[in-house]
Amino acid sequence: MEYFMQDIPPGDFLPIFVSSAFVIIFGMAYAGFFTFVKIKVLPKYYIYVAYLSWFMLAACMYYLGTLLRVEPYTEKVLMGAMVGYLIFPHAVFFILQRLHEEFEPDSKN
Amino acid sequence: MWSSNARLYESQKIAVKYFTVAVALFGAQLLFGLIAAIQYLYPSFLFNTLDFSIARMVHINALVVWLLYAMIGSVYWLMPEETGIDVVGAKLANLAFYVLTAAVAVVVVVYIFVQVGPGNEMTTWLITEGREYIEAPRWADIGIVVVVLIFLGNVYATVIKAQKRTGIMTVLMADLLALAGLYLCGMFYTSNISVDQYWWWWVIHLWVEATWEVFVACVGGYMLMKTLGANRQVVEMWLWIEVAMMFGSGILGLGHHYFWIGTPEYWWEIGALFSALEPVPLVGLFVHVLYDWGKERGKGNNIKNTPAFAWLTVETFGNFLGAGVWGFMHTLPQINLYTHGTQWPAAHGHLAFFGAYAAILIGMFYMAVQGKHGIKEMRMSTATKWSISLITGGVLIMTVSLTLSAYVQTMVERGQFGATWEGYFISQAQVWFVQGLGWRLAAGLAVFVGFVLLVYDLITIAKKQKAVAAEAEAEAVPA
Repeated sequence: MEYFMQDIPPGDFLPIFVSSAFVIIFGMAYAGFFTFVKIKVLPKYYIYVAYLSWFMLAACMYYLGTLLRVEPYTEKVLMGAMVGYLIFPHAVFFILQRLHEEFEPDSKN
Repeated sequence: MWSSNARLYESQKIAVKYFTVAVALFGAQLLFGLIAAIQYLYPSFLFNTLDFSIARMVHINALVVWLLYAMIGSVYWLMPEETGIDVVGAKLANLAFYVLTAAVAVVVVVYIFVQVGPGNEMTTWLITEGREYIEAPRWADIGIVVVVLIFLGNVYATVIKAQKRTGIMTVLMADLLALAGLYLCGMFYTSNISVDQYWWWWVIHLWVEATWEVFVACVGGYMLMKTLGANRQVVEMWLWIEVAMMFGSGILGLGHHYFWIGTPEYWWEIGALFSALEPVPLVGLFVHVLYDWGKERGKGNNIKNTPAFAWLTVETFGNFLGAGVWGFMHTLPQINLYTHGTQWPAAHGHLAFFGAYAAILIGMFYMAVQGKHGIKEMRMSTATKWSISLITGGVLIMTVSLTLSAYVQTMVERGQFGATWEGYFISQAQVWFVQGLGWRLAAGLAVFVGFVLLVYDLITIAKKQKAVAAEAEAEAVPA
C-alpha cells in the first residue's frame, strides 16, 4: 500500500516540538540515572526512576509518531528501537565493566 | 601570544600556528555574526557597504574554516604523542599552513571588498561558488585540496613510519580520509540546481553528521586520557562503538532531508528512524564520561587541565542539547516540511555547531597552552570561568531566542499561510519573531565579550599559573 505524508494541523506543532524534545530528554534521563546507580553515585532504588524515564521515553515516541501520522510499519519499527534503547545502556555498561576487569584486575567497581 | 619555554615536537609547533589562526577566525566569525544579527533588525545597517548576504556568508564560512584549522591543529598536536615520533614532513606542513592562511586571507578580502560578480564562470573561479558553508572560489577550492593532501600525506606517512599505532590514530586516519574525500563532492558544478545541491549535500551534511562527530570522539578520547587519566583500552573500545554507530546513524539518518531532492519515500522513513538514533552515541559518550569519573573520583587523581575538561563537559552537554534535542525537534521529515528554511535550523545549528565542535576544540586550545608551557596541572582562572559562562550562556540564550522566533515563523508562515511570500513577510513582522531576534543579538554580544575574555585567558593563563606556583614554592621554603 502506498503511503503519502499527511498534512499536520498547526495546532499539533507545539505538542510535536515538546514531545520530540522529551524523547531526547527522557532518553538522557534513562541513561543518566542508570549510570549514576551503576557507579554508585545514587542509591539502588533510583533504578526505578531510570526505568520510569525509559517508559516515558517510549510513550513520548509513540505520541510523537501519532502526531506525525507515521505509517503503521514505521510505528512498529520505532517501538522496536525503543526496546533496543532499553537494552543499550546495559550492554555498554557490561562491556565497559568486563574491559575494566580485564585490563585492571583490581577494579571491581 | 605563545612564549616558548617548553620542548615541543615540530608537529606541535605547527599545531600552535593552526590554533592561533583558528582563534582569529573564530573572532571574525563572531564579529560578522553580530553584524548580520544587527542587519536582521536594522536592515539599513551597512547597506551597500557590507550587505547581509556577505556578512552571513563570512559568518558561516569563517565558522567552517576555523573549525577545520582547529581540527588540523588538533591532529598535529596529538599525533606525536600517539605515535611516539615527530611529523615526517614538517617543512611541507609549514609551507601548506602559510599557503592556506594566505589563500583564506585573500578569499575573505575578496568577499568583503568585491562581494559579487556577473554570475558567470569568472565569478565562480575568482569570487564565490555560491555553495552555502563552502563558498570558496574555484581557485581556492583546488588550493584547499592540495593543502589537505599534504596534511593527509603527513598523517599517513607519520603513522606508517611510527612503530606504534594507537586506536585513536587508526580511527583518525580512516575518518580524515572520508572527511577530505567528501570535500571533492562539493567541487562538482552542474547547471541543474537539484543535482548541484545533491552533491553539495554530501559535503556539509556528511561532514557534520558523520566524519566530524567521529573526529571529536577521537579528540574527546585523547582529552579524557590526558585530563582524567582515563584507561586507553576503555576509550578506544568506546571509540569503535562510536564509529560504528555514527557512520550508521549519521549516513542513513541523512535520509530525513531527502524529500527535498525527490528521492523515493522509503528514504524518509529510513532517515526518520536513523536520525532518531543519532543521539544514541552521544548518550553513550555521556555514560562513558560519567563511568570514568565515578571510577576515578576520590583516588587522588586530579584533573590535569580543568579549563580543557570544563570545555569537554560543555561539549558533552552542548552536543546532546544542540545536535540531540534541537535536532530531533525539527528534523523528522513530517515536521521538517514546515520548519525547513525557517529560524529552526538556525537555532539547531548554533547550538549544535557550538556544542559538538567549537567547545571541544576550544578545549584543545587549552591543551596546547598547557603543553606549550609545560604545566603539569592547569587550573581555571577567573577569566576562564567568565569566558565559559558568557560564551555558553550566550549561545544557549541565542538558541532559545531563535527557537521562539522560529516557532512563530513556522506557525504563521508555514502553518497558516502555506509557505507563501505573503506568509513569509507577515511572519517576519510578528512581534514575538522580532523580539526573539532582539534577544539573539543581545546574547550574541555576550558571546563576543566571552570570546574577548577567552583570548585574554589563552594569552595570560600560563603566566598566572607560573606566578601562583612560584609563590607557593617560595612559601614552602622555610625561612
